[in-house]
Amino acid sequence: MVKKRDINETITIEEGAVIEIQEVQEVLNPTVENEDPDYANLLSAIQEIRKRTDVVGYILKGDSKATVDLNDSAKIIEFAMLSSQTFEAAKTIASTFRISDTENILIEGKNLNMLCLNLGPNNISIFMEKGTDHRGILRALAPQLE
Amino acid sequence: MSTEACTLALRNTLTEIRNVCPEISHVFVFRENGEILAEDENTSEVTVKNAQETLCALSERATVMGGIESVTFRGSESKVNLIRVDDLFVTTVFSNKADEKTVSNLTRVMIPTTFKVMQKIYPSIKNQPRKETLTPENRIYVAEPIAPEVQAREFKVEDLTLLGGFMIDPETAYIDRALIVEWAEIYGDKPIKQIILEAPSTGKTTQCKFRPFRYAKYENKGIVQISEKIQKTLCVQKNALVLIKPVLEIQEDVDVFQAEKTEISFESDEPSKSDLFKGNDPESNIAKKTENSSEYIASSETEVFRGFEKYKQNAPVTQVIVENLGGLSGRLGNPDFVRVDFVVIARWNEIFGEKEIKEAIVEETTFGKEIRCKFQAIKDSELEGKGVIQIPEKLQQMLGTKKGALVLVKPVVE
Repeated sequence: MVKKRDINETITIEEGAVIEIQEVQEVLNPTVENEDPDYANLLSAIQEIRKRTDVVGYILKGDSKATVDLNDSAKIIEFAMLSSQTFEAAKTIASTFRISDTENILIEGKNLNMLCLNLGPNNISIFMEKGTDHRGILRALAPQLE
Repeated sequence: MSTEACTLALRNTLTEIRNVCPEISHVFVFRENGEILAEDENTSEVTVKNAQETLCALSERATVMGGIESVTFRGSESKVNLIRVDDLFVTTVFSNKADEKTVSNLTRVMIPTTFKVMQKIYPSIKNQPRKETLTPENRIYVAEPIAPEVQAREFKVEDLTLLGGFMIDPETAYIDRALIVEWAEIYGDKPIKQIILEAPSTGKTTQCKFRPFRYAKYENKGIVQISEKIQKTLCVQKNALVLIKPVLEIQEDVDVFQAEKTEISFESDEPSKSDLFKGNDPESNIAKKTENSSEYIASSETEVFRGFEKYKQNAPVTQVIVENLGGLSGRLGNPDFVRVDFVVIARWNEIFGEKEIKEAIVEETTFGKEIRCKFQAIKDSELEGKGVIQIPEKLQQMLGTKKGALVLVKPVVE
């Protein structure tokens, strides 16, 4: 079995280990055949979005893995916890007010904005500079949303 | 009481927002610390509590983003929107059919405005917990302001029939003393000489002078007494509703300080409030020397009061401009009292409640000379609201002051 060494910004981790992210982690090399195609497509789309200068990072969490890419790697845990809390809050709010499933969540902070989307088993959180038009990102992700 | 009024005003505002935009299904307000301030009539407290806990938890996590300014949960049919205004979180749940701009304008403008107005009326609500029992009545309407922070209140027209219409100024409206005091509390040192009357039914407005009701029977009834002339101007009659708002004037020289009620201790019994407007005893001394008191420095010519340190800490001090005491009081004999603005007296009355205030301390600002003397309300309507104090010549000499100078005045609470 081949081992792959993922370094620094892009970190592939096992399920449930979001809070214990290490900067350098050795994982088994996932074979292409076993990879969730939706996850792979989403990752590809988000990596494209990440190239935009106003996007400062993202967290993609699937069933069995998560990918984190942030400019400020020192705050990975805080951002991961915020992302997780946001999806939890969306479920509670949806059930409290009997609204249908939440399609997306936009949090405007004082310094950053965060756009969260729930696509089946995959949760995406994209962090942007304040004032970024999130609709552009939604348009870029539209093929994945269909 | 104040918290109830605030909550009632907020709740009415939320309900009105729903009336304006029926696509809004829920709207509620809570503070950053989790305190729920108000919710609309259709939203249960359990729902609000549940949502508030969730959103507060989310807000705490969002410190990594510098804190939350807004959150929007978008569903396929509806949205939940949370916006932050100062330390308030306003949450609205509305259909996707609603115009987002309208919802945003309503929530971002009406609720904070109502809250700020209520805070100014009742500053103590900042730290008070919410009271639960509420019955909507006596709605407070926040109309389009004529100037920043100026609010209009609704009153019912009453004919001005004092003495069969004689001895009244047809250009003057007679209003609640409580309203005048309230304005004094809100607008502090901005003199208010006139009011604007607006009849929503006819769209007519007029500006006129105002005075407090002459008879207590009209107080707190939600009415305004206006002459037939003003009624004609407004095209209204008795029992019609009119809006009243104050006309603020900028006065830079006058500064008003207010003391906190809670810091003041009282020792006396409870006198009548009307005693404030008596107290002209011609035989009394200008500066009375109290028993066992070493607080006065007496000289052969003047008695200058130099004590009252306790009042300096607690009593509301008002800076006013010296004006000569004219009229009969000023010309005849040696008046031993000063005339203070009615609004100032009313504010003292409001702060000290039932406690007796028969005298005031007037302090000259340059050398700090003080006198203690009786006071009465200013009679000359031309001087009302101008931030002046009428002092007879003799007292001016004792203080070492003269017309046009600044002095401080504060009440002596027995």
